[in-house]
Amino acid sequence: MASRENIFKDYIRAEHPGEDFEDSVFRKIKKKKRQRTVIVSTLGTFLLGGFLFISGTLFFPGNSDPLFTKAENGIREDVTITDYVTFAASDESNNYVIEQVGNFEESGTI
Amino acid sequence: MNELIEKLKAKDEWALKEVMKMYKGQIFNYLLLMLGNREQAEELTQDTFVRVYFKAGSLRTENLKAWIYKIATNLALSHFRKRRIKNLFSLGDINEIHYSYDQKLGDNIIIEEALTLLPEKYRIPLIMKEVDNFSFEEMSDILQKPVGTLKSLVFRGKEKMRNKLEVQLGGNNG
Repeated sequence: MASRENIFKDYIRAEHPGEDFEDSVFRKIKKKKRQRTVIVSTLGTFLLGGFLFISGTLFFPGNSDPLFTKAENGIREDVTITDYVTFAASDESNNYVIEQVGNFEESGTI
Repeated sequence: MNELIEKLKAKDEWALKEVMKMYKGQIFNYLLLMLGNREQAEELTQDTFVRVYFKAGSLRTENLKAWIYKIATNLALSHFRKRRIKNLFSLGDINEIHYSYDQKLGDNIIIEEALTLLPEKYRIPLIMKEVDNFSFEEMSDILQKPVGTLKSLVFRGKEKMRNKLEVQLGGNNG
């Protein structure tokens, strides 16, 4: 045993790592390179996609689908409206009858 | 050496092989003493050289050995942190001081066991100074601590080692 004052005087280390140490290091390096490539390409794809989307929205707003589209070929389309209207009127001498009034497409009369 | 560093910076695999030949034994033994576990020491030694390969571009010193030790030390400290967190959430043996050494005889075992029982803050500077023969200035650069602090840690670490050795030897004799 080394003296009490100099504990490490005779201490010798002669341990060695395993035989495939270097191969393991290169395997880890290769793996890390592959991981980096995947991360970089994924990130690149996302960034490119984001860039294209934003630039498309900013510079080509007309290309986006409007909420209401125009009628095709400018042809006007009439939509039938059916409704009931009631009214009443009177003066000092006359009372006017209250009738239901309809605007029917069939008759075209009130 | 400069040529080797330049090649290493250029990610030359031959340069990495040369660096591994030069330092793998020292780094492995350094980590083995720090961790007290052969498998973990080998794993972290491999990780050290993987990091050497990827970080070589940022190498700003000519002291390659000190730089590699710095990487190994940081990995070991990170390992200790993870182990502490793991112990914090584990119901198992909190002290987890179980170290195994193969093919070790005599005094080395006693010294290594006593070392592994020391707290990290004493153990790391003590190994660097007494086993790896670093100067306090180099250690200051590697561990990012003032020279005075390191001198004190080494001194107190030795004192604690002696006490532990006395207990161990006393126990063995008695």
